[in-house]
Amino acid sequence: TLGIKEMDHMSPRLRAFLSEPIGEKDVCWVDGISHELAINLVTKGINKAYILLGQFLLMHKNEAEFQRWLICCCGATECEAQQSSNCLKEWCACFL
Amino acid sequence: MTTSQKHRDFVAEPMGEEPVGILGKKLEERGFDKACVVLGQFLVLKKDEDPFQEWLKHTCGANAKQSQDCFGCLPEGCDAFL
Repeated sequence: TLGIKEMDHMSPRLRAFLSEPIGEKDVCWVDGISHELAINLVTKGINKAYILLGQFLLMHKNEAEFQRWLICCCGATECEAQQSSNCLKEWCACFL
Repeated sequence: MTTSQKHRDFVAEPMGEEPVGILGKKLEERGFDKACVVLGQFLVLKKDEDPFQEWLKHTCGANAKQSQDCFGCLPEGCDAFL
């Protein structure tokens, strides 16, 4: 679990994402996923945050590999890829 | 319905790095060496029972009972942590 100090350094969006189980949240809830990227993901059938999490887990939580996939296959920018992989990494640290 | 001790143990603990028990060896050979990776596959298949069982049969030759048992653990594990 994260302490107050760690939570302070997080964006409000990341903090919100980490504050409760992932449930049925839409993919746009994941920190780093812009509106445009969310549309790309939804067209690929990745409409829920848990599906993106699944992809991250399938890649053995390898951030570099996940980022490469998000950029090459889903049209993410480097920044979006880094933010979202960090978000999912933090989520795994909290909940898994 | 009675659940096996293994099932109860699986559901009770946070899913992380423990090796996959049920079809362990075969899944390990194909790179699914941790429970969280099998969970990843389950989530990518949108938590749908049929495609997941099909995947399990196809990936490691699980029979109907084994794949049903494996599937049986996952939604409960999901509810606890997802």
